[in-house]
Amino acid sequence: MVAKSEETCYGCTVQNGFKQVLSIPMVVDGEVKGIITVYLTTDRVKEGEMELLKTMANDLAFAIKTLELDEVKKRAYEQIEKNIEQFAVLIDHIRNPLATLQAIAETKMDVDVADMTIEQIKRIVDVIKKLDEGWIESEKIKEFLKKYR
Amino acid sequence: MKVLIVEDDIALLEALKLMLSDFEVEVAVNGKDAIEKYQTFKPDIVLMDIVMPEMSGIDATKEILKIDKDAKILAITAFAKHKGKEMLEAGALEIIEKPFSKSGLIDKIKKHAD
Repeated sequence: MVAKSEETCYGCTVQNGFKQVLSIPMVVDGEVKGIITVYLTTDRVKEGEMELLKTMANDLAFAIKTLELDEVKKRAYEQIEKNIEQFAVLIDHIRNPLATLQAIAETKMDVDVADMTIEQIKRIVDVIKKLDEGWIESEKIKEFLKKYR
Repeated sequence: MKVLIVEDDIALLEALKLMLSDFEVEVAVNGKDAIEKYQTFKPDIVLMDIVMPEMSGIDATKEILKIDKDAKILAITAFAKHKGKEMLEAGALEIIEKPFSKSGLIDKIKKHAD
């Protein structure tokens, strides 16, 4: 009935017997998520009704925010998952040429040059090991998020 | 001694052939290729990369061990921390992390092939 009167005539609420219109903001953490509009057929809001409506509006705001946060968490998790995968692939892309370089150094280079090259390879491997440790930590975080998302 | 090297990185494959020039070597560039070459070449030991196109080293290891339960497969990988456990569960004897030294690699081959 309300929808029909709204669709046909915004000014007809009084004609349809409504005496008051209440607009209640839906608030969560100081942020307005929307407004609930209530049409009343009575002159006054009964005691406790206003509080009840405010509570309902805020509960709805909380529910909306929860849904929004779930969506943000889902997107963040997907991005972390993607980053971790790329990270592992990048490490692979570094280790493979290093292995090639080490093989060439040991089989084709003069001993002095080979030793210098292998020393530098070891330095890079040390950096990769640290990256690997970071990867393991990221994996743990990913699993934690998966559990609680 | 016959060694089958399974590696999709062609530069590394060539470098490994240099490292293992004292051995009789055959190469494969993915898991499927490895299964075929294993049956024709009959290697004493397989050096198997893990992440490869067509068929991974993990699946290839399982398939080769179905064909020959005594197959000796060593994983050579950049993914030791990430895929090593899975590869050992598939039946690989040891994980060798890239990069590796020639002497280290040969020691491991001899250790497992004997």
